[in-house]
Amino acid sequence: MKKFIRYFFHIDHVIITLFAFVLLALFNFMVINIDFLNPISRALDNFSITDMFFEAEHSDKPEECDLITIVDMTDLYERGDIAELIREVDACEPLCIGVDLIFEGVRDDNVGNEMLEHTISDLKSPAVFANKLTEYNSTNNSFQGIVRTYCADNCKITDAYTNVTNDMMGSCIREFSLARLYKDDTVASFPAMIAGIIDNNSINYGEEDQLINYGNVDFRVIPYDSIFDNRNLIEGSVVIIGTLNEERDMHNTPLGKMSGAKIQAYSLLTLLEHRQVHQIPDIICWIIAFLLCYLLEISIDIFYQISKAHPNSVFQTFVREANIVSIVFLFVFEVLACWVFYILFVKENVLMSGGVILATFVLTCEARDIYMAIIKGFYSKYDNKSFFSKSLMIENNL
Amino acid sequence: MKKFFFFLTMFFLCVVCQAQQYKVYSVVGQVTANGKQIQRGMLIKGNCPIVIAENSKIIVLDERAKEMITLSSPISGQLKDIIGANSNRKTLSDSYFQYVLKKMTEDDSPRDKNIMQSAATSYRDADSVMINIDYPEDDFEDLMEEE
Repeated sequence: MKKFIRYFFHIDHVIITLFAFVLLALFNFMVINIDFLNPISRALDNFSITDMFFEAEHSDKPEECDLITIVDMTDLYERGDIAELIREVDACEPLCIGVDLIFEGVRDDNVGNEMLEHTISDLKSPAVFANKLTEYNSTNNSFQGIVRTYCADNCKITDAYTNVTNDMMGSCIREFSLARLYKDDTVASFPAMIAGIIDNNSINYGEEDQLINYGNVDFRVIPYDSIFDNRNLIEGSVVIIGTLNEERDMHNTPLGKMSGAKIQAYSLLTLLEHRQVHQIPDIICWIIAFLLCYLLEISIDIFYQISKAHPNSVFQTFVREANIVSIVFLFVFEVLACWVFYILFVKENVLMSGGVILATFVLTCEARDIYMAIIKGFYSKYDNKSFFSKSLMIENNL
Repeated sequence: MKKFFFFLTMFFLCVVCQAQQYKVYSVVGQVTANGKQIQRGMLIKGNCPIVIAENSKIIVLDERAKEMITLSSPISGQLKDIIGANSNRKTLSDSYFQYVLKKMTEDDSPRDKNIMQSAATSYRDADSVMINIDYPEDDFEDLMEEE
């Protein structure tokens, strides 16, 4: 037992594991300071491991969401027709109506305007209309402008912003916000406002942006001209009225191009079903990375110990000369880690910064080789009684 | 072992030398680097050859020395050599230097300007009506035939 403990906590393992982290810091420093490596960092900038997880999850048959229904009105343009549609949806007694549309400006269509205003005033179900915040001011992190439905003030509608958290540089929409500052006021986002109405304002608007859970869920979609035929799909559910096939409202997501209404639906579902993805704090990821790398180092070393008992064998050649053990263990650890990350993400909605852990695995093998070379160098230079003679590398005649 | 430390030192030296660059604070007239006009906010390496034409001026910021260097005479050569020979340089206080950098970033960063500027929604405004307008093509053709 004492021998095992001595072996398990041998200074070599600690040094090699720590050295892997030093190498990681060194590479990180290089990427920041060397210009020609920038394309790599730029390429990786728009990548998240969650994209792969969502894509893998969607390869199975999706389950149908019975909480949210989307009404597709891509082909409806006249305000009078849209007013009629909202009236029909309201008549089906939904839990809440989310109108993912902005009726910007007063038009010449007086009849349509009047119908829309009357419909909004007569709504029995709670409804949230879309607006858009503009003129972002980075100094105080607030927006200075807003685009609302033209009769927002007159009809006293409830509206919320539909801005998505991207920088318009072609990046994916992975997160949604709960609230933002508009001038000096905190205003709620579209999904947060609807969730607040349904959950009796249980949303904490002070929380940070959340990862949209693009889980393997399919929303029920009803065409605008068959509302009453699908009354059962509307009654008691949240209805989002929006466009599903309008090019102007298409956005990049981990699942490819997706309409704004569907993104709002996924964001809302994340809030309603409390399917928020919990990110494990970085410090815990680093600790886990250290422990796993330590385990990897010991696993590789155990094979070196075994090979010592079989001198001049093919096994020893494979272990020591071809470095096969390191490669195999590295592969096994990487695959197992990815699998665990995936299971944690899909089953428990827990996200771990896998990049750090996977990178340190690779560097642990490299650190071992470098450490071995250093120890050999010192050992050949100094006498056998030196500190380095206690190293496992020397004990194993490496 | 000496070789190892030598290579390690050389590696760090290379990285440090590589990182030496200047931020362009302002450009007046024609100032080119590798034949291309220099723009405000660009980062230029010390060993980059630049050409300052007549009646032109460039002001660069040295982030390490916290200096603002003005180059106003017509000259060509590597930026670090021109700066080395130039005496028109001002050392800025740390806080002012950070302020200047921040203002430059605020003015120029497209990310700040674009942040959350797209919305996951559709519009039903005057433009959307124009997209879907029904042009009376048949009526127009009938009219032409009658004529």
